[in-house]
Amino acid sequence: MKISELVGDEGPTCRTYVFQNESHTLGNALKCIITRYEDVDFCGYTVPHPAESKMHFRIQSRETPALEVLKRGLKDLEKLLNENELSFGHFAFVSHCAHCSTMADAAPAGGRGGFRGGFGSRGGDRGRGGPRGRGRGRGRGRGRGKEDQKEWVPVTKLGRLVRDGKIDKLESIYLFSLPIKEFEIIDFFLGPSLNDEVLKIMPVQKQTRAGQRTRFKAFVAIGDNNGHIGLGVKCSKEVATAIRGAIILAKLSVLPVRRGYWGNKIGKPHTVPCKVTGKCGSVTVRLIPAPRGTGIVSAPVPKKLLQMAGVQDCYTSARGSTGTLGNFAKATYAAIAKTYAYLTPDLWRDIPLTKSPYSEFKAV
Amino acid sequence: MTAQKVDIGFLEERDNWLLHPKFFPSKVGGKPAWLDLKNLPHPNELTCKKCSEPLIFLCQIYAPYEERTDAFHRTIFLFVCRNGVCCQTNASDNFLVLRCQLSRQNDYYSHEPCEEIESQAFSMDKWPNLCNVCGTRAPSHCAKCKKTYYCSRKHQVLDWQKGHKAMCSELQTLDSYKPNNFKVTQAGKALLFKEWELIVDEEDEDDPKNVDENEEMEKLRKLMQEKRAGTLSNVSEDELEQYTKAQPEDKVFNKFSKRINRHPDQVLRYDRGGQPLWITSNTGSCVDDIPNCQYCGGERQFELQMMPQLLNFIDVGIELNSIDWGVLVVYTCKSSCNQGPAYKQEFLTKQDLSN
Repeated sequence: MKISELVGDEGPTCRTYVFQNESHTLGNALKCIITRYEDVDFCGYTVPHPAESKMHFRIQSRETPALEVLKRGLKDLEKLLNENELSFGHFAFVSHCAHCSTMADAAPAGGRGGFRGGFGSRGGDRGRGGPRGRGRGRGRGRGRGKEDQKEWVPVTKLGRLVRDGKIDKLESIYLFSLPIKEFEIIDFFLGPSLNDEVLKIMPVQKQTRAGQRTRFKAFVAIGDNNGHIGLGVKCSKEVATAIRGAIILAKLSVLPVRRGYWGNKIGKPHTVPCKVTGKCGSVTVRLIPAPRGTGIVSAPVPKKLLQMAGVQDCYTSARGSTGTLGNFAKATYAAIAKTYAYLTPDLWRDIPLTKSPYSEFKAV
Repeated sequence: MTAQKVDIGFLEERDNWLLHPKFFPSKVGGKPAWLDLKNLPHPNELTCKKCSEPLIFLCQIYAPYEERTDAFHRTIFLFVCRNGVCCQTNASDNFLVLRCQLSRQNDYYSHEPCEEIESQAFSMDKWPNLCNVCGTRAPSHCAKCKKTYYCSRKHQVLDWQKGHKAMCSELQTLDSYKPNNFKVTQAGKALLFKEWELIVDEEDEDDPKNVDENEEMEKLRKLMQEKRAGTLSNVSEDELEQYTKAQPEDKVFNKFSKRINRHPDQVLRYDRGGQPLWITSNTGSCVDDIPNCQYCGGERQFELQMMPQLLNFIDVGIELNSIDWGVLVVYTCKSSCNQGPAYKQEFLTKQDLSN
């Protein structure tokens, strides 16, 4: 890039520079940056003749020599471009610059005459990002980085309460059976202690006119080995998407599991608190407390679920046509859910009702 | 032919002087920056249908119609009742939508856009007075100093307690009193929402990924080799399937979540003539009876919707009964007629996430 200086008349602080082989792309961007410097009185550029590939750049500052201002401006522009390249891509920025400069030069079409904000227009000059746009280009800053962590903005009232820290335990939400629609709520409470385990990924195929369409179904179990368990299924065209989706669904279906003792109450609870049964169809599944060291004596799926929930020992007994696997599994899940529904003697004492999280807090 | 892109609104902080009506802002909270400064709506219009308290300003969106010359400037205003009890599931009695439009040549603003200079004055002397607290039209004034105006008794009392008491006697003698037409006063801070500017941008496109099935099968085979594809691979699908999802799946909410994930902090979706993005599946009750425009008799169409993320930015309190919504869907006159009063009522429907 060749730069030369025109003969100056007002001293080293006011100068016009001539850029060879440059035009609006550089001129407008550089002008935007340099005008913001406090010391600069005036900054502008012009392309004296469209046939000549030259650009005149004028800087008038109060005290700093114009050359210093120009150097600083060029450095800042380079920094800005580097940052944008990371998130936006070089070409997109340059094209946006070119677009801005053409808009700056030509009178805005459509007759809005510079009134900004006409985003409701279709087919006319939108006026957005035009000459009056005050940093309106949020698109630039937002970037295309889909992988970076976006901060969670809750959509439900419960989400807002959780994010503001007004709810101290996940158990308060369970106590009032409030529906959890955002998985970030579970993440907030249990996040670091949750382990997810992919149970199975299987390709499923659907017959279409144009052959077969294969998708992948992922089963993921999630638990913190301390009383919470969830299971999620997701089907998707890609393996990674299916697993990610299944993890989210598993988090949404997290259930509390109550544990108790078999005999003497030494150490931590290790088994189900009492004999619980779940029933579905003709199948009844019974979970029976077991002494320490027994391990989980059951079919593979409930075994995995109970392990991740933190139950260490358990006997199971099933009756009915357990060949219907669907009913068998549902019955086991029902039995696990019942651990908290069972009224054991230690709960006989009257516990005063606590207020729902919604009504507990009064506005200040 | 590409589908129409949806415009998304975000909130940013901005100096109050930049949100003056002469700049035709889109904003949330604070006082309304009226468009037609003379024919303002009367305070009777701006009362809650449930509790009869004055409504406060929620947001305004500057959305001109290119096709009509008399809608060169066009703004849609939303008002809401501050009282949380009035907010009921799937009912929109505590909201009010007003639409106002002007041609480019009008009595209030210049033909050309205004320069963005803080000190440039804009005279409001010719136009009706605005309430010191909430910024709506103010027929009554303080009997003592005669210089502060109020829209209702309630706001007068509020202002008296929150600072006018101290200033009233001074104001009586002060000659050059400049009313706080669009600036939020001490009393206003307690009542009104926090002031933000609403910036509108295009929604990001969803890149349709061309998935190669064979590639994905390869990935799966690799995972299986590394033994990461599933610890219970030998269990049948049916058995696993039956464990999942005791709750019925809300497909509409899933679609909603996926769409807003492109811009999690969006507060407005603008798509004139398009379809709203519902938040849950019971849309039937909302869409059945969209009334026709009461001024011209023409049809109404979907124009914009406010998203629940807006509630994060304004302070609505966390009580059991506080202002809450799933989505607020606004339908406006399709032809943006200019009949009737300057501020025309439009239709709003609220969809909640039912429990």
